[in-house]
Amino acid sequence: MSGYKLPPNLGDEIGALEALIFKFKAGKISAAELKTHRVPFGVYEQREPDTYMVRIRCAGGSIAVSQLKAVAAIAAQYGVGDLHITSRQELQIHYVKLDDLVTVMRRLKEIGLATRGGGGNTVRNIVVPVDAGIDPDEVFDVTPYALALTDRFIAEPDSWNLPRKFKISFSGSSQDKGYATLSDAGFLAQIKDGRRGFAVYAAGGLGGKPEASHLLLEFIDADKVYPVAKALRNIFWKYGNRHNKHAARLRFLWHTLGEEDFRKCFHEELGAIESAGYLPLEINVPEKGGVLPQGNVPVDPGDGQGFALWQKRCVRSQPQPGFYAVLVPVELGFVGCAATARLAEFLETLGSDEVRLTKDQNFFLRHIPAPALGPLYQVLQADFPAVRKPAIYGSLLSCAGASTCQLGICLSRSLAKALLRMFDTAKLDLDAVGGIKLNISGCPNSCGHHQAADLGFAGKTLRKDGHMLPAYTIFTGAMIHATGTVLAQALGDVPAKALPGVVQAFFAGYISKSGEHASFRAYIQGEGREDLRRILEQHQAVPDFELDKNYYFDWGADKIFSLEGRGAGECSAGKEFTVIVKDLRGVLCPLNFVKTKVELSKLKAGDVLEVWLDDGAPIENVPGSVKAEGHNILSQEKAGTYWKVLIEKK
Amino acid sequence: MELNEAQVERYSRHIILGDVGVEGQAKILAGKVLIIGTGGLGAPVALYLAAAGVGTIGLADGDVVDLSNLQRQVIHFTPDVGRAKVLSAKEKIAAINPDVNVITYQTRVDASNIAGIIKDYDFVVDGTDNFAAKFLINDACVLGGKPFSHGGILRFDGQTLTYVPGHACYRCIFKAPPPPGAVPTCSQAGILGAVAGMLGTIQAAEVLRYLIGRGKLLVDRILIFNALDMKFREVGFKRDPHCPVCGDQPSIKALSDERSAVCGTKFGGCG
Ligand SMILES: [Zn+2]
Repeated sequence: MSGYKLPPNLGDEIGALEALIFKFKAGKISAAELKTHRVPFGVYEQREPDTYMVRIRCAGGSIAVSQLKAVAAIAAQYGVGDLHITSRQELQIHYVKLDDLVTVMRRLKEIGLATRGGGGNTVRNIVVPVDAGIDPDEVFDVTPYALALTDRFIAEPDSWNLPRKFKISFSGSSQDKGYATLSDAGFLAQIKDGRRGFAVYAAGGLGGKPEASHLLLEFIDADKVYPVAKALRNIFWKYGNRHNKHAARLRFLWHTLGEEDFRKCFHEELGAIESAGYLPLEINVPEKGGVLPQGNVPVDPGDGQGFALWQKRCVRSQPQPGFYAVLVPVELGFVGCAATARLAEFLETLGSDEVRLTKDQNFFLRHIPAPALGPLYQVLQADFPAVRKPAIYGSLLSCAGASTCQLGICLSRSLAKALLRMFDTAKLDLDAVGGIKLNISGCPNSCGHHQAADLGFAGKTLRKDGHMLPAYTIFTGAMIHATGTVLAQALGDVPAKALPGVVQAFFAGYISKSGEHASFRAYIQGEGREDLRRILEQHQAVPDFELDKNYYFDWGADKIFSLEGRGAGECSAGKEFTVIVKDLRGVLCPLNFVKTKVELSKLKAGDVLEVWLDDGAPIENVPGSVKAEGHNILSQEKAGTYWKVLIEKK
Repeated sequence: MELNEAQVERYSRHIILGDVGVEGQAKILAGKVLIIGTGGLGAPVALYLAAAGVGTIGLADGDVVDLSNLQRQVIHFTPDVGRAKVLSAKEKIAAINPDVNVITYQTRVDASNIAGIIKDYDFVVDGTDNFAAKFLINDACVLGGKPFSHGGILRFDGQTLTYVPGHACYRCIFKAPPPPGAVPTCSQAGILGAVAGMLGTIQAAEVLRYLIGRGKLLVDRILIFNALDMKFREVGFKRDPHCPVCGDQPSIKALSDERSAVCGTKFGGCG
């Protein structure tokens, strides 16, 4: 497993960020300006002052064992002793101090990892199904394509200044486990006339106004992945909506242009890229399933029933005889650095070279030789308590929620913990439920992927007699498949405090008749939905505020529920803000100032506008006029023949 | 409200102003202003408000254009003589700014119709030429809670004040129209045409500043000028608690038509 290649200019880019941090500390630039540069570096501010989280690109959701061990050491030194696995199959270090950010980035660079594009309006982590390469149903292993495309895109400046984030996914089979049909650009492996290639899906995704992607091209040769992905990124760069981040993702462009014009723009762009000439991706196809581990294989000490149960829950065979894939469940994606390091060290003794990260925030190991399963079980038992529990403990997925996210309504992670406590005490045969997609978002934005869930929840508020209470909308039955992805549908609302009871009753109902259904997924897409609707109706009652205030507290909250402190930030445990770019080149004085004012009038205080001005009278006049009206000029930089001016609205 | 490209350019010199900006221009575009009288005062008021982009302009006047009007009523041109003033004015407004919606009332306002005409507007401009109409507009606006701009001109003199509910009204200073014959009429008095333009543009500026909500209006003060010596002065006054219409115990509770000289002064006015 070779991993992705760092671009040659990464060191310079980190140096530039370091210079900005110095300027910020010297009071020469504002926090807002620093933010415009650090967010695209995958660095988000946390709610606690002067602490940041750093998101590490793990292309294909893959990280080398040696890298994982080093990241654990870095997180132990500069964080607070744990790592977080994200739903975009990356690793995150939390609570890094401002003074340590650049050191952390340089340490990561030394081991071949970058944070660039972890956040902001950038090409985000390019992902593949977690079992790519060992999935018996896959057409071929798509991992090398995600890695090679990452190599290209992270070296291109246009990947870092898009109207909004841009997500690219690959899938190896029509099961679409990588969500190619739920991405800005999705590639689904196909073989046609003996040639490798992909069906291309575009302009879909979760989040506000979620939508399944549209089939853009039925088949492209594998060597066209690069120009097709680039054409999609370029039309997004050129025509995407930079004014309203809530209507900016590529799927909105599909609708504003209309399908016909979208396709026309795409083909024009693709034609231009092809006629200019391009290098196809350099694909290093590993031997089927990667390099098999060698070295000293420990003997199997086993331990009876627990070991057998674990094998049933977490271990599955690979197409490569004698080797096994192992899911390491990590509750809510938080794992200690020491535990991670011990796991990495054990894997090193096996000669294993790669760990994958799952969408539901677990580790996924591959190529574990049969005799090593016992020792692995012993190692995991000590550090990963969920290995002794049913799969749902690992598959339960939650966004960060209102504890750290500015947009959050409900404390989704606390609800997740409440569900885990319910699982602990409810005496349900949870193995019958399996590792379903049980996904929680703290607000209607879909950071917790509730619209892709078997059973999903999205935070909202309800009111009773004028009192607000935390609640969730329940979604059921997403079907993700190449032949037509269907998002989970809203079923109804339930008070947050009643939700564990609803889930318990619903699971109990299914378990009592699980023999009648092929799987929980089949049940919930069929009669389960009506069963759930009935259960929901029985859990609607909210006690009067005066009689019982319990329902008016969110899970894990010590204050009565309110939306106080909710801002216009974003999800995933940080604050994000968008820079709107307005090209005013060729616009004369004073109309360029007028148009600057027009753009500023659409923003709220603290938002940032970037205007491009011609040299000469425009740059000599406009910034001064803007400043005279009380706005803050964050910077003005010459970019070739014109100027880029960053304005923070007063 | 989002401005289109042409609007951004058309109103660019407003938008540049810190006190107007996009927000102020949006308020102007949403504004609804009624101009009563399309003569010496109404003409400049209508022209400037149309150019400024006031979204809806109402024009009330029952007269037709007379050759003697053209010396000062600059919205009407020679070929308009004999045509209804409101229609002549509406055409000019459309030519200046097609964005403006013009509503015409080809009638003389009186006690029976004024309340119905003013009710849909944000602001009323008095551009009439007689005391009876000026008191009627004052009373209707006080009773209807409408802000308005009073204007009067004669010979080389002009006066203007702005009423907003809660502040002094025209009757707080001038209790009642002078008796018929007590003042010279326009035909006796004459008017320097440019004086109409001077006062009308002051009234237009009051309207625009009211719409954008910036600056200090001519409220609780009256501006008086003499253009022969070109002297301006300002007299402050307060709401009179004994005012017959806006006082604490008003005697005027319904509208009626006053009888007075058609073209009164000092300053009935001479539209
Ligand atoms: Zn009064």
